[in-house]
Amino acid sequence: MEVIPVPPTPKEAFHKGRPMSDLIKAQVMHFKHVEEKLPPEQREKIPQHRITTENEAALYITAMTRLLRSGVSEKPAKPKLVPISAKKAATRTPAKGLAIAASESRTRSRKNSKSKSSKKK
Amino acid sequence: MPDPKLPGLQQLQHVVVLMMENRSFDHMLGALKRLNPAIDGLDGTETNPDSTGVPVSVSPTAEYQSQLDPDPDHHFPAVDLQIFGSVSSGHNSNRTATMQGFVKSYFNQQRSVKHSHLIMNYFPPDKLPVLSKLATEYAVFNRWFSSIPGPTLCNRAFAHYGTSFGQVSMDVFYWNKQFKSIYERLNEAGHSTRLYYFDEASSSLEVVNLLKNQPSLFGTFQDFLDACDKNELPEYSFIEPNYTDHDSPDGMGELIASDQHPDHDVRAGEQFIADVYNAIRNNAKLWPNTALLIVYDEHGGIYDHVPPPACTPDSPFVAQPSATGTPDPFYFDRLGVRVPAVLVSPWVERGSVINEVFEHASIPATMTDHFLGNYTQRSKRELAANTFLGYLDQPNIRPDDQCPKFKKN
Repeated sequence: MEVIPVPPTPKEAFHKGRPMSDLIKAQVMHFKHVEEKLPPEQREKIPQHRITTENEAALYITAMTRLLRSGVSEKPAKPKLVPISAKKAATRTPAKGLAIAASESRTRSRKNSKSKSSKKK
Repeated sequence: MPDPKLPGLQQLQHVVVLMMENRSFDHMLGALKRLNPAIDGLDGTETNPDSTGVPVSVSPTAEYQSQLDPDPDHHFPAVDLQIFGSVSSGHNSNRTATMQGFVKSYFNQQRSVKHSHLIMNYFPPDKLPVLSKLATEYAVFNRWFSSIPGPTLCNRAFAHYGTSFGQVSMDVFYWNKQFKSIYERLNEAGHSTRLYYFDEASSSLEVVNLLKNQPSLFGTFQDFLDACDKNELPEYSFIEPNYTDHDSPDGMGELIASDQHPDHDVRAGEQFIADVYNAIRNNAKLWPNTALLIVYDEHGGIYDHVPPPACTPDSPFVAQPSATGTPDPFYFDRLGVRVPAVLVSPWVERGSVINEVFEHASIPATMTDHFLGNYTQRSKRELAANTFLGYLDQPNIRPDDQCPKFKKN
């Protein structure tokens, strides 16, 4: 069987300044949703720039994807601070370090359904 | 369930799914009816009324780029108009799907009568040499529908989870771990699976649940190509095309979008499909042991003549009017518009035309049945979905010189 040629795409078809489609806007929105839940020190690494074109979206998405692929988790839980009496505090030796609770991955379920029976067909 | 003794299934080690973007069956493959009347495509008499009532015929004058601009509306209310031909009044639960609303829907976006006619254009086969060849050489599905009459993200969810968890829009949604993704199911059972996005700049569309919580599941398209070269392809792979024109993250040049979502150049998508096919086809160890499904997520607002059928409701999920944007709730009891879908394997009968109804829940249904067998924690839609590996049913593998190859110019 013959080898079938695949026509090339002309260079002028490339347009990184093209305004984002609704699809890319939604993808960016989903990344922004995830970004908002990141710890502040992780958020600082994400570029904050105008996102209106495909290439601008790509720059932002690259940074977020790299961050997520590195295994970053959500914000760690706040450390528990146990109050101690003033007398004990005066004689207490310095703490070696704060114990920070491990972050836990949470899976949320979103309640979408109302309790209605299926439509009979 | 297909006969496990079929030699194609006994040899099957890898399944690859490539999901492209936003083109209808008739738009991409409708012209093939003239080559094979069994393909439920176009005969040229199909029409849609425009906003003045004049019937607009289908036309083989689709262009690779710049024609469908603005991007045709494919959100739930617009698709509702496209399918039923009129806007719902909320008082008729027995509307008939006429597929007569596409031109009217496209008119709503730019208020140009002339421009609205372009939604009826389709490609002749010689303009899509890759997809057309694969569709005629292997198996084409006459009845693969998007899972929801709506946009991309909720449709793709059916391919990953067998459900969209009640979503009909592009909003953020959270998975319900009652219905695990196909990737999680396979991993837990010790099977290998990977979701390949094109590169970090394009990334995955499945962000909030999969990319955030299971980042190790992912790889790049280069990883896919490397895996093919090294014979290290996972048992199940899902590939996402490039969704944007962008500068390469490694600074090595410009990368053109290959998803075929309007207004991206369709030729770039043809090249991408060829790349995926060639990576498997040109590996003598992979080719006999791999099945490739090429499918589109939804029709993108573009004309198709086949009314979507009813289906098993995805209960308990219901989308209320506030979510659908129409006067009616949606019970996930009817499918979306038809999309191109082609099954590629040397064990598929040449020129097969498949008439069973399929939708994106068929993807996890097929993978689960094949790799896991009995597994009940699935959505009602997935449990009811048809599976497709039974079409690898030839007694002998097709000779190598009878399977096409593509060469990029």
